[in-house]
Amino acid sequence: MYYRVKRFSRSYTNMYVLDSDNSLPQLRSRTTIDCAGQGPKTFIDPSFVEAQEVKCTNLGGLKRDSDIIKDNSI
Amino acid sequence: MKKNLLALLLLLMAGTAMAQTSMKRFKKLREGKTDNNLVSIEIFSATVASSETPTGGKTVFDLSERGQAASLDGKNNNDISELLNKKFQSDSKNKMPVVDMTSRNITVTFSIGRKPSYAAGNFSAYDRIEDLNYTFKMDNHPAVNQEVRFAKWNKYVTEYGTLDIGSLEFNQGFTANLDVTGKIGASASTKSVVKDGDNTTETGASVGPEVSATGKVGYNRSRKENQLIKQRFIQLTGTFGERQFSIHQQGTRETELAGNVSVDVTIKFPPAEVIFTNFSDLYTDKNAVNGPDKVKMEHTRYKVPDITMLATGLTGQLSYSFAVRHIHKKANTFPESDDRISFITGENSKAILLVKPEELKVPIYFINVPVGGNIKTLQYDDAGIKRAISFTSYSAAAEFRSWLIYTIPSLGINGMKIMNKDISFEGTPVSNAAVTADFSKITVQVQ
Repeated sequence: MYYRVKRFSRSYTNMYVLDSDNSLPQLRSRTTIDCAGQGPKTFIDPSFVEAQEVKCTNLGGLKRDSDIIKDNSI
Repeated sequence: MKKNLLALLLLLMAGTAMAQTSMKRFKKLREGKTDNNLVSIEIFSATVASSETPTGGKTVFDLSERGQAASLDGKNNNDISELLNKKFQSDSKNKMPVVDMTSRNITVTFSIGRKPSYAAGNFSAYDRIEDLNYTFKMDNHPAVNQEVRFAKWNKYVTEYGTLDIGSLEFNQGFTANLDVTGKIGASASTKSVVKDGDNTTETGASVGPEVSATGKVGYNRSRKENQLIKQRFIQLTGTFGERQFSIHQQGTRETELAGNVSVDVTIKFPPAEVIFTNFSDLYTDKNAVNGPDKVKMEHTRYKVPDITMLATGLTGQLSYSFAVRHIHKKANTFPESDDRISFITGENSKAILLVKPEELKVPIYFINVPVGGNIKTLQYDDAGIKRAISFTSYSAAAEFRSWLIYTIPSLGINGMKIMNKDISFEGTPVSNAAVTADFSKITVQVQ
């Protein structure tokens, strides 16, 4: 499972999920999203995939940085 | 001898006449020097509170007493409770209410210190900071450039001080007596009294032959001033911009500028949005558990500071320049007017962490359970968009967790719906055996 989070951190297991998908290409292609996102989630074994800029449908159409991560837990 | 006495008398009179008055700021100014480390400024900041601004709509409390009475007429307890939380005249009924928490009220305290020296060769205990300018400027940062700005502060009006010099009564007196004994072959005696305004000069001298000569010089001079001049000086003024603010302080007699100065500023941070969920009617008036069909679920968008854009906090540069009035001579007298001084100037700057990222964090509480070795978060399905159920407080999350544990055993295998929205642990029904096996594994966590 792939997640788009606000910011990837190895220090914190809780990250704020903006979007998620089983398919990395699908997740990568969605670059205009509601930046209120899905909410916080606890990850056990996440790994960084890539950084990507997205455009928010809310917040006046602001652009923001995001990180795509992979959840390696079972 | 007579010449000497007269010369001495004239010298004393001239010296007294030229004596300083309290009108002077100093007696003599020497060439100054630079010492950048003589004065130090530290910043301490404290986040007082987030400035919460609900947008749109009016509540029942905005109505007049008559309107409130009419609204509450005929309502039962549940209706009244709902009415108290209800918003009227919102922009759109379908639009989620928004609460803006991106502004933070911060008290910034500047601690200004001067290093005094008590060594005899470099005594500076009674020096004072005469002039002080300090500026805080935000660092260049992508987020800072985009959104972070000072929104307001509490130093809009220049603070002036008035030094009422007229209230200072300055008295100066001088008395000199001189006796001379000798043998001189002539005799004469004089006595004169001169009155010039408040000044009185009395001189007496006698010289006798043969046996003795006694010269007695008596000199009195007194001066009294009641000064009616007032001095207005700037105690504190400042300039304020979106990215920086500056403060200027001016010292005055016997007033050391070292100390603490506090400024209340409101800083606007880049927004992120979180959708918080509020559940009501979980229990009846008699504390019986309501079923999911009776529970109400409402969502509110909160604009919160986006700490991911300010991972290192709000940083900036504090720069300051100063002038210290250093007394070379006459530090042992209270009046400043007899001081021989020089000004020691300096400037400095340092990196400042004004707001730590954790101070900006709005805690989000949510409910987790481990399913198959993976931690799943309680969420709702909003027309295909899956959102974590986020609570604004631990108590709200704990109350819903308790209700969940009471309710899950009565549910079917299809799980739970509240207001026609599926509630699940990321797709795993809340009634799944993995969840019901051990309710203690359902935990409230904070992000």
